[in-house]
Amino acid sequence: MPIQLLGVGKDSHMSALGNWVNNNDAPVCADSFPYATWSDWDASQRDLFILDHEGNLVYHENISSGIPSNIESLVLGLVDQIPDCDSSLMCGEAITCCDGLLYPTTCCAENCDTAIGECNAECEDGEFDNSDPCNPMECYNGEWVQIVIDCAEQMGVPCEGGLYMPPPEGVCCSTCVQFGDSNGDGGLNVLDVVSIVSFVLNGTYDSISDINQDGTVNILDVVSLVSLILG
Amino acid sequence: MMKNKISIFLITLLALSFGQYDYNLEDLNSSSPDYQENVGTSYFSGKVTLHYFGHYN
Repeated sequence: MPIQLLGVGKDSHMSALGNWVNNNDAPVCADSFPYATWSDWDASQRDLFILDHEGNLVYHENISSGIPSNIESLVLGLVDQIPDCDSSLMCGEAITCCDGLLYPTTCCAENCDTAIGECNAECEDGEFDNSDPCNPMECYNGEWVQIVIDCAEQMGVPCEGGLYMPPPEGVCCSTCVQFGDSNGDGGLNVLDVVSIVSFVLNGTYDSISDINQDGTVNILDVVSLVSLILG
Repeated sequence: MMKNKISIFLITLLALSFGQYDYNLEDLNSSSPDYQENVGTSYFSGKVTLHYFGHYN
């Protein structure tokens, strides 16, 4: 609970400290002669002061005759006034959208800032739109921001020893596939030999399997591939 | 040394912002979590504080 009880005594009476604290864990202090704290607070024996979370005095009574019954509701009322935010938080300065409202820092309302407007809520931050894989969009500060995709083929980077193959669905850039990599697993091995033999037997043309680029897939391509695999 | 100066500055700043109703006295209760710390209103900044002034004979 954000409530703290403190005791303030006088150093001339601290020999009876054990009676004061009686095993409770509230801080107990001793004001030294000439008792400046007692004077500053205009305190008398058995005075109770209650201060709100900002240090403002809201209650001062002598409780020699007992604790007033309304103390509990008074204190709980003061607790309710304590904000949930922390104004001492260090936050980055950037207009940020939180819960549909714009704040001047990345902490949003956590540093007690008030909203400076409503977000242009086209989308929620972090949302991703990949319906056009070459123009994907990400939501930032409630607005769609287009992400630039640079593809090697469009930028003129040559695909040496292979061909650019169209990208699969949901991917923007074509892939440079090496001649002979018939199954497209990124390496040349016996599985590719099996694939090319299958193309030869079926009479199927596959541009990646046409290693010598003579317009047909035949035994010469199988020999070329075996030669490539063996190094 | 520098750290101590900064701490003193911050405590002073807090004390000034809390105005008259503050103090900076050592906690003598060995059962308290703040035992031997200098406490007061500003030490418990952000909390509702109840201060009982009294003494046993």
